[in-house]
Amino acid sequence: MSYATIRRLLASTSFRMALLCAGVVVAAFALAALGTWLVTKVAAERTARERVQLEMSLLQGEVLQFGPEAAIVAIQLRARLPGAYRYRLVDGQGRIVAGDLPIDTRDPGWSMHYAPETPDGGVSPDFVVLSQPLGGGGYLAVAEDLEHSEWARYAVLRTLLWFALAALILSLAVGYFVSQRTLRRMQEIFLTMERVGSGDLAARVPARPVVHESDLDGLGRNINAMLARVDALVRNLRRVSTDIAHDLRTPLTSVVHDLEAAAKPAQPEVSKLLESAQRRLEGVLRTFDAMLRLAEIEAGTARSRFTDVDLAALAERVGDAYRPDVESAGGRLDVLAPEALHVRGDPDLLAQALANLIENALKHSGERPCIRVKGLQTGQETMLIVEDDGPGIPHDSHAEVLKPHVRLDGSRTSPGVGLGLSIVAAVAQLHEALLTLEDAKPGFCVKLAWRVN
Amino acid sequence: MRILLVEDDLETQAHIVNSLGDSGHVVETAASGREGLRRITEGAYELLIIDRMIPEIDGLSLVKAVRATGAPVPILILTAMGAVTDRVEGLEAGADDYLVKPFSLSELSARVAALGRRRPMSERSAELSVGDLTLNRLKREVRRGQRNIELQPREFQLLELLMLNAGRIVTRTMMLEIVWDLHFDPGTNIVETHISRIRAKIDSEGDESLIQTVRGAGYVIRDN
Repeated sequence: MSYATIRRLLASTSFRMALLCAGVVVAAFALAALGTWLVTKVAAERTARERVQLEMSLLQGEVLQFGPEAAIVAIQLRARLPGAYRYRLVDGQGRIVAGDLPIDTRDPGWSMHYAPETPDGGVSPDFVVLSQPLGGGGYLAVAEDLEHSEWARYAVLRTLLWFALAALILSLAVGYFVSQRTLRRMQEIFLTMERVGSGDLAARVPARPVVHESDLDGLGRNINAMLARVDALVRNLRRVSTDIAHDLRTPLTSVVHDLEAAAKPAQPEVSKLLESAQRRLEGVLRTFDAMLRLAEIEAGTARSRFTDVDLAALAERVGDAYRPDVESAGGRLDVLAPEALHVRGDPDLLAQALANLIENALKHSGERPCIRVKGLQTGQETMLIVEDDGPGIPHDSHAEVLKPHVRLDGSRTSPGVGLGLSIVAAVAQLHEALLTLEDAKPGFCVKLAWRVN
Repeated sequence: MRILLVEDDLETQAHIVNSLGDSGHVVETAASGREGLRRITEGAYELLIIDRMIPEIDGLSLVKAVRATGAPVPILILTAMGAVTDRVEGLEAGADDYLVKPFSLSELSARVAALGRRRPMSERSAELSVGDLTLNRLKREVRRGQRNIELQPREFQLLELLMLNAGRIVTRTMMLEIVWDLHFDPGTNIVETHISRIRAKIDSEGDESLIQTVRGAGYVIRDN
């Protein structure tokens, strides 16, 4: 598994949930183990005490009934049995007369001895000891070691830890597989949204036939429904606007033709007016042309006809077309594109976009405009840049000016239909080029950048 | 010229018929692709004007059908505005020229004249001349009488275009398309500027210019 896969996995919500669940499972097992440990320890001690108490009563009964000698015999007999108690019988002179308990317990009552040292230097198991004085200064101690119950406790603990480990591995594995599934699904949704973002409204989240729909399947289905609706609305909107332009085109063209025919035989003053009316109408038709063109560009049909385009040659050609106008306005237009820059695209649309940018610069940079068209290639990008030294556009209006028909207040006095930059934006999107508007300090700078693959 | 116009919009049809009739052409009409195809197979036309969007058989298919028969008749295709790919598709189908609606009638007349077969000078001839102005297409030389004239590449192309169509109007749009390869109107003075530069170079002082401006239509070069 690569580092990237792990990172992707760690970033996924479902895997994080799985990790959390695994953590909770392990913590629950650890708590259970601790609880079991404590409870069994206490329970083992208690049963040991009960048994020791019983044994003590029996032995004391024997001492009372048959005397201390009988107790010695009884202890010696009992000590041989498997799982026997440990004893220590001390007489009035302090001599050990029976038993091998390696603990000196003169004090009467209960006592606990954890891992006491044996006379030979070893460590014996924990003992629970009951000591009772006997008549004549001696005493009797009965003890049970807790080795047995400890072994059982460790066994339970070990089992619990093994199960915890198994649960951890299992939940991580399940988390991994579930995450892979959700990640794939998320990736599909992500890619779809990216395609929609780049203007492909026909993109849909791939549907899978599933018996029990997951939340992500549901999300995908809802996204698809939403996209279908958006697509239909956009299509509708596009159709309405293009239909209007389309329907008005023919009658308006006829009017232009009528005017053209009427202007020929008319008197000079009249023909002047007719020609002016004709020019105005042609302006209206150009706006329609721009609208239809915008709709067509946004529909993306031109993509199928993309060819190899040299941006440098294109910049020279379009620059040439505008130079006379810029120069007659007392300004200058420089095209700086020393080497050929190849991109895939539609040469007419790219020329139109560049023309719109130069026209925009010319229109908005006041007297003696200085316009630079640059074509350059960096390691990752092929760029086409149009800069001017005009007043520029306020930064917070940059996104606004790319929308159709938006014209900032300052430009209301100059002619134009407000479609210039939106056509540039549409062309950029069609060509998968990144369009950025920047402050050139002073002036305005529009950059079209293609990623080099 | 005998022209067939295939166009379904009757108003546009009438305008074109009147305008081209005024220029001395005989224009017959067809309102659908099927009718157009029938007429083309029956009659001998010197030029076909075909709208891209016509009923029954669309314009492109009609152009392809005509070209499939091997007929060398020039075809002018009329395309709807805003259609980005129409121009390329039209030319690929075999049309010789295209015009985007809405067009002015003078533009149409100029295009029709340029497509006409009776060219004053063969497109293949190396040397073009109008009066005492000669342009050698191979050596890329321009002379007025004995005077050698230096032209910039675009100026040369523009003069060549005018001289190929000597006596006929060449419109601004045609110039933008052929000389600058711009298929939209940049709305600049580019054409005017170049024409005035050429005039300054080829004309002698005091004489009337060889290149004349036709108001509202374009330019024409002719020997006075």
